[in-house]
Amino acid sequence: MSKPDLVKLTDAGLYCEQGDFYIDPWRPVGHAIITHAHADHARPGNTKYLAARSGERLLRSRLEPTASIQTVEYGETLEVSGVRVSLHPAGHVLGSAQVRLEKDGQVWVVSGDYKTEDELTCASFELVPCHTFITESTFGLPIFRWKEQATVFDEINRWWKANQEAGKASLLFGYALGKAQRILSGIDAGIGPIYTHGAVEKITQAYRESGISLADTTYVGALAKGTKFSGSLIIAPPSAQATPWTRVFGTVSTAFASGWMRIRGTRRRKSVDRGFVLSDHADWVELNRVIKETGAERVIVTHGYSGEMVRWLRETGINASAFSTEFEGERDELQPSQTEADSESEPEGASQ
Amino acid sequence: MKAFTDLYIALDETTKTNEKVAAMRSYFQSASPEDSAWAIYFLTGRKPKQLMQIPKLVALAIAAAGVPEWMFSECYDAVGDTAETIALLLPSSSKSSELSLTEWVRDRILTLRAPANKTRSKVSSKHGRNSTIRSASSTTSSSPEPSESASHSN
Repeated sequence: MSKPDLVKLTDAGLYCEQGDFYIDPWRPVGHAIITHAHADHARPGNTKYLAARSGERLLRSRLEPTASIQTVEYGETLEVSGVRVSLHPAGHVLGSAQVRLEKDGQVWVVSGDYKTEDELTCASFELVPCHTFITESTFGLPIFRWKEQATVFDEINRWWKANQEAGKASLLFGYALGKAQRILSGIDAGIGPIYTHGAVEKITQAYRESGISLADTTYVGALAKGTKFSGSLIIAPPSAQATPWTRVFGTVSTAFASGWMRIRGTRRRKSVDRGFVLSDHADWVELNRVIKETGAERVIVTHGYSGEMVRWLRETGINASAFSTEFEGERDELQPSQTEADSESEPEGASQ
Repeated sequence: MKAFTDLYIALDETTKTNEKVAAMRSYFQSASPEDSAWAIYFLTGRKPKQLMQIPKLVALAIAAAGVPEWMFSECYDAVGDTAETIALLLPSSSKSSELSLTEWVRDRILTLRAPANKTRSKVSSKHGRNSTIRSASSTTSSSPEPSESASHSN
């Protein structure tokens, strides 16, 4: 344990001094490894980027057009000033990666955001054994436990069908990057037409261009005036709620798909009819299982319920501490934030 | 109880008054008079008093969930409601019950306070003779544990 740490917390972000690069920096730096394309992890302004190849197209659509992005396949190893660097699937969104660093026999893994349930829009999470595991903890409380996604998709299908029978449109809010595409990959597209908000359509297109097969969608802004939405499903980012944009849909039932919907009060404050508990983050059980199975003797928690997770891990005998980062995980959209998250950062994509 | 649960979910799943009224109409058309009475009792926000001390309920939930007390507090801070916190922490159930709402209230819930009634004269039997009968029937139990007396009545 006398070996120097491979990752340190600096003002600009998580820094590997030995290799002189950052992971998901929040200030512009020279070399940045990006774990995934969400706005709190992939910020513009860095000189050079390194990311997983499967997410390249998506990442390019999120960064400055001139961004210099080098990509690697999952599992491919690069040698950076004596540090062996490789990326491994995190199962969070398309192209999401855990970063594995190795030097002098010490292995560190930075998780980024992750979930372990297999799904169709990204590569499945890979467990990477390590000495030190730097983990997220967005849903690091034991109240957060997810049902199998098939059950949640059934709930969404039944809600959509019931609305259709009642002559209503179904307006479903979910993050534009990741959640919306996962919904499109899981629901029964035979029920009716699916329409999208501009922010969702743009990212969905990047997914399709990356080879991910998703249900057919039509961008609301491309429709003729007077289109009837009754019986359809409309997918929009949470920021579109209660905006004039939603007025054209006629009678709607509203719903929000998020891990935060596990708490009734959160759903009530969002003023939606239904909450579907669907998250792209690990729940309490997954977090604990992954932390244990990495075999890490030291755990550093970056964001979410970090204080609680650190205390819990310490009580079970794990050497745990926290890094105070600027990552946000899955925000519940209720607290204003300095950093625009995905649902709220698409001015160019907003349709009206 | 399943019908009442469905009603509760239906009421909770819509923000529209017409739909809430429709859900209630449908429930009351098929519910028994006893169940209807209890349904109105709960829907108007009332609840049986003194069934169990909250700290005891929390302690039982903490034990069943296998989390430390401080973690319960953290969860409560996130949820904001004791009953919901307990519901979210408890392991998911593999069993299900066909008892009616009335049977649940009369035979399972009101019986929880039977032992306390014996010793605490201030607690009146506000909810009818059922609970009085239960407290009489459970006087054979010397245990102060509510769960004990509940199992006697099953």
